[in-house]
Amino acid sequence: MIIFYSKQTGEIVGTIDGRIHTEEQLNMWIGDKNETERVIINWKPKRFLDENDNEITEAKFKQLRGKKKGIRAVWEPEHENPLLIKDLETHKVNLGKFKIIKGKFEKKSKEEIDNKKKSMETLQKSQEDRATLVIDIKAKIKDKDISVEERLDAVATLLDMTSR
Amino acid sequence: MKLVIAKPSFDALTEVDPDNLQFSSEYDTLKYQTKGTITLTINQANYYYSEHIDFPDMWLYYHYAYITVDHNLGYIPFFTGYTLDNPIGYASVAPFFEGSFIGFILANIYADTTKLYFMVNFVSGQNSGNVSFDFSYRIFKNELDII
Repeated sequence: MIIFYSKQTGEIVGTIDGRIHTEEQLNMWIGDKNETERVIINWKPKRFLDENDNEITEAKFKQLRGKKKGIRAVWEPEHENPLLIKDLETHKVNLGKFKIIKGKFEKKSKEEIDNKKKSMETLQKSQEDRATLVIDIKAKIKDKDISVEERLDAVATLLDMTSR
Repeated sequence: MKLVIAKPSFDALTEVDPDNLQFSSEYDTLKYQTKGTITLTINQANYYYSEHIDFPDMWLYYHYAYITVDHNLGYIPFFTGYTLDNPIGYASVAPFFEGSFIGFILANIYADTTKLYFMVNFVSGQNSGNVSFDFSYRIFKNELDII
């Protein structure tokens, strides 16, 4: 996995997924090269297992590979926090929850994460609320079932929504 | 010379119906190259246009930003893109558009011979604070070959 982050803030801006990268992928870049930096997380085969999940040596693995079913290598990320990298790989963890400071991952504060989520939710909710209200008012006007007072109430509600 | 893998109970040497084949080198396939994710963060203080509307009495702020992935393939590749968590909890195939009478969000992905562009254009009543949009992308080796 290759992770790109802002040089200025450490915020992760994107990833190129995968454990082994081709030359083409290593030539790729996310964002402006003057503004983003990258961390390449290498994965290496760390353990070798036989068909019964018993650990075997690398030499034995090379000897049996392709000749016997169930022989396999277990790959691990070469990083101080392998569990985090595994979670990132499977997207169990939202990239936005982390930033990179001087090459190290740092978990964002709950406040930062909540603020990010809240800003998006507010944007979507206010759009949905406005759309629903407009449809409701239009339906009432069509049925001539709305008084001036109700129209003023609706405007006040809209103003309240947009000032949030 | 061709390579054919037939479904169980069908003969690869004689079968010609593609529904009965698992693979045939006579048909082109997508060659997967890369996948990944992108987060585009927009500072709403950097709006490009604002206007006041009378009904409801408010200011609208127009925002636009994009981020790129350099694929450097030298041709426009076959690609797919998705917006994540927009609406919240869903993945949508880009372009994503949502609009109402005083607001809209457009999230789109497009490509040229060197880059993939992830752009967002939206209007809101806010001129401060950050809003983030998450995308997922897939790039294939195949040339798009439509323009």
